[in-house]
Amino acid sequence: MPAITEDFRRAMGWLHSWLGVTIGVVMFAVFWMGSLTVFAPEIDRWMIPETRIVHRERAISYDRLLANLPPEAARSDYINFVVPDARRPAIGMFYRAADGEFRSLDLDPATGAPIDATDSHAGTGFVYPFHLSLTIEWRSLGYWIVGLAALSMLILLISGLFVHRKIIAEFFVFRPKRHARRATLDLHNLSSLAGLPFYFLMPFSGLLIFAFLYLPWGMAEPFGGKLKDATAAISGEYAVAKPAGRPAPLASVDAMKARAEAMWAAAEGVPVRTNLVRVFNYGDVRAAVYFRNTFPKDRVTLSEYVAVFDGVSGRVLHDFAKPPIGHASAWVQGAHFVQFGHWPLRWLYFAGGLGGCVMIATGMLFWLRKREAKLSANSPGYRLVEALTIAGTSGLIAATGAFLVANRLMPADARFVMESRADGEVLVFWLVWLGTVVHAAMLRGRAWAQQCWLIAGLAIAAFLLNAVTTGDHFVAAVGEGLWAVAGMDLVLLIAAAIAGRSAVRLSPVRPAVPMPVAMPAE
Amino acid sequence: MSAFLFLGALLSALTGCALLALSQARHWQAVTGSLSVARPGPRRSGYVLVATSLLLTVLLDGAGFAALFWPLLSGAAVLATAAVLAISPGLLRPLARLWEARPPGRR
Repeated sequence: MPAITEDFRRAMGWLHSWLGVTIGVVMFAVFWMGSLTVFAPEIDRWMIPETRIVHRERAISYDRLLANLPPEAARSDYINFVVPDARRPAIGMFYRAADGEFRSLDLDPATGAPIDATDSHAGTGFVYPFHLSLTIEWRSLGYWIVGLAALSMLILLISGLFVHRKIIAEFFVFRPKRHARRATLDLHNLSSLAGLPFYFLMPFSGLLIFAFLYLPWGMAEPFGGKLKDATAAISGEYAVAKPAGRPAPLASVDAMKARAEAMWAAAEGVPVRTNLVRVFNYGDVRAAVYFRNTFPKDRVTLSEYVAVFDGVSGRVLHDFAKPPIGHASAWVQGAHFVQFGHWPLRWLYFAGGLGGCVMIATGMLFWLRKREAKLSANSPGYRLVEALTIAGTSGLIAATGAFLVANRLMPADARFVMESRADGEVLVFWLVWLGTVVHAAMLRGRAWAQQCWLIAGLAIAAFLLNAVTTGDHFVAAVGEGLWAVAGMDLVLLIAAAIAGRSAVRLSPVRPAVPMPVAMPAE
Repeated sequence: MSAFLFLGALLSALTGCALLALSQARHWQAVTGSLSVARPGPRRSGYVLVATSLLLTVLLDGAGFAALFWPLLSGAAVLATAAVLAISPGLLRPLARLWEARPPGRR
């Protein structure tokens, strides 16, 4: 085997440095939001207090829910119910309105009545899409940027292994008391090596999940170039006929659901729950009812059973179970989506994601520190990287804190210039993030400490505002079994402590003012 | 039962990583203060304990979960070991004493 030459190592070092600096901010944003996405339903409970319901297993009648639909939903050709569970205790409902737009509402699991919930995109509606696509929808550009970041991450991990000269000898080395540049590099190396398998798996699985977007030709090739057929073969999608315009009563959805679960349980050997109930062409002679099981709690692999019934006769139209190759990809998808019911692993995912943030941030910081002593520290390129690094790390975290604080402070009818209150919260996020870019560009290195103070202040404000505006303060939340709220509050306090400590350490040391010397009395 | 398996996996990962660190002369010196070369004893035991944590995670939740749980648990153990060595290496002295007390031939 040929030895690694110095030239090769230098080339890898060049690639590692410049690719990291170029796309580091995007990678940090994806990792940060990905870490938060692990707890997206818990963020939903915190930001939408009306859905803080202690979950109880109860039989829900979808026939009854359909009989009591809001008038607009009753005219929809596409009605979805998300079956409640411990993390999403309300019945989620979304439907396509006459104008083609989707509306969503939460239903009380006990009564089926719509909940007058806070209008917020919260974790599922903002944090999660941000992780996937930076919320840039135009021509799927956001997905491509995130895909590029994922690919870059894989290249950076491999090139980093060649750059690091003493992987084994310095495996456990962290010297925080050495000079700042050394300590930064130690932390970068340590966080990289400790989470290496996880950092490989996350971008790799992300790229595989979106292979339909990134490599559509390859996916469609075995299906005669028809991507739709490829999707149907793998995910079990079923094309439902358009409504005929002739009214007909819907057969019992509850009976169809019981039959679908019985079919799945027979195939699986254990009980299988429905996660999604979808009614097409409600009230029409061509009505169809679709059931999907997606997230089993006791294993990583996503289960993709789909059953579609004729809405009028109750006859089975489509009974889909993933093909064997689908099960392999379902493990990869399950490993990325983290919907299983394994709480220690969920917390380790969160910690692993934050470890990834540390790895990326220290990498960019090391690039800056290596150059700060040189003349290039005042060059426009250096200043640009400096401002983007500060705003892309501490600024993004502060913007997330502002998003939470805005959620608790904005009145129910607030709009700003946006269409809805929920969009107003997102506007606050973007404005604060933009503000941190300007702040970092103006104050340069001093901005670190100030933005850390901002994070600490916002985290404490969010913690207090939750207590004041909802009454579910930390102790009450623990007492009532609202673990999502208590967990969020605890994380906010820990974030405030870490940010405060970081701010103190990053604050420039002021020269000690000499104390006046007391003169002896004469 | 699963609580014992979880605790066992956690402790064996932590102790295994600590022993792997102690098998390196730099960390052995930081913990014990004695100048000596790398020791094979702690290294072998460290590998055995890290492998034991893998076995326990498989027994705990099956291979599907263990493939995710064990690397993350081991990563957390690496970080915890590095943090202890950086902040208070003396905490690992009781572990090092187990090897100091043995006669040289059995190390």
